[in-house]
Amino acid sequence: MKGILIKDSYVVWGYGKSLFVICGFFLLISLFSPDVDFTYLIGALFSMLTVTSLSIDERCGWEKYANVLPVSRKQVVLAKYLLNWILVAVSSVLVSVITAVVEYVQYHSFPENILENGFCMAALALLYSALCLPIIFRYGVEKGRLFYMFFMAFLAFFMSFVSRFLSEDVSMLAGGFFGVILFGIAVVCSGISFGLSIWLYKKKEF
Amino acid sequence: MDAIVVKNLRKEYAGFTLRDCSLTLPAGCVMGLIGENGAGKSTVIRCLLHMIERTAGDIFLLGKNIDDKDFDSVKESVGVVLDEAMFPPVIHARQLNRILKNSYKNWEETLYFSYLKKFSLPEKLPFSKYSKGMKMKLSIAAALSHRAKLLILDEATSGLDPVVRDEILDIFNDFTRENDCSILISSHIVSDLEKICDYIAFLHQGELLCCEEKDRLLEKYGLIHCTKADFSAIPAEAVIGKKESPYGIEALVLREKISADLAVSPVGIEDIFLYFVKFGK
Repeated sequence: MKGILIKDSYVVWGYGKSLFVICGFFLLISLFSPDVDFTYLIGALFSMLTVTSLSIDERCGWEKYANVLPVSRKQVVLAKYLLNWILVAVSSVLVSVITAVVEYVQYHSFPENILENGFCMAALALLYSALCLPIIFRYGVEKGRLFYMFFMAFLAFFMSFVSRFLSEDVSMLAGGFFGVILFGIAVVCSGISFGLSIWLYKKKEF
Repeated sequence: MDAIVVKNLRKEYAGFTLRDCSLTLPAGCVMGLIGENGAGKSTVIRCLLHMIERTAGDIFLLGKNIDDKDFDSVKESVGVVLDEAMFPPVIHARQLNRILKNSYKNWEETLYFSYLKKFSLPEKLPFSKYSKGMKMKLSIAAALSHRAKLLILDEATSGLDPVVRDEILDIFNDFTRENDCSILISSHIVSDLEKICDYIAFLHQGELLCCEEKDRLLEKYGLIHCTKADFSAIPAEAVIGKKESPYGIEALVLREKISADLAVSPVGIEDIFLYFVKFGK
């Protein structure tokens, strides 16, 4: 499995190194435009790198080649989830650091909710991959992305409907632990998603 | 120990069925899978590698049932080259060494780099910049560099020029001379198979027509050229297939079933296959 992780690191670095330039660019813009917040976009870009690596595996045929290596399908799935968890952690830390730098430069103080924001971002990135990865492992990247778009459209419709009846601030209801609770839920979802991906990937034919 | 044992393999797809395919590749031998496009060669290979679930049958590689829980360890001893090279476009040969060194316990770095040199493959050129031939050569170098006991090659020599193909066939020949190593190779280039194979398996429309020693096949069958009148005197069970022309009849026959008076010329594997499939009775 170590070999697969090394391969993924080469692929992610090959395709994702430009993200660090983008991060620097966003940092610069945020420093001079206090009203503009790009941080969640950075998180989204990083969390999509796992899907990108799966897409490359699919296009170049590596997913077939992985079958001939002395690794089980469970290990193939585990390697992708590990990559995802690492990328989520890196992007959350990066976004938190950028936010702190921007706040400090602009207001000479660190943001109070920096930790909660970091957890929220990590949670959203984990939920995104928890949703997409099982579908991608079974049906491929294109169908996985389609499913994700349909789900997000449904979620947007559902949330706009529910928000009419919810007047209280959910974050307040959670007593300031909204980010941590959301992160906890996302970790559980990611675990369930991992198990589901293994089950689905074992049935896949190449 | 046999390198490959396949018993009554069956795989059903919508519109295609691989039917009751049984074959055995003894250790130290090379078997060629011959068949037209869609005959089922890749299906057999994908079943062997557990890339698809078979409908029925048993498969043993290097003495181990592929359904066994610890079968993944057997993959250490199986080198595979599929019909196209399958490495990510951004990586280069040196990085591939690091990936495979951390995947195979028996990875031989020195051997891998010697193959890169032998095949004139640049170490730091991204895979996306390789030509088709270079990609196949890199796949072959990877398959040969982890002390495999069995090589499974699916159209591995396609896309290579005749000189490189010949060079690679020599490498495959050397491979089988060492410690009972075996090869299963499928190819459209029958002349390649004829050069290196000990056994030949003919597949046609999902059915294994025959699986025999190459020399035995060449001894068993022969070609006759005769008139229609002479042909009618040949017993029907001796004839595998025939080709009629204004000049007479050319037919593939079983040597042992025809009269010794008839002149029978030797036949190549390609002709045997064509008569089985195209001009069969």
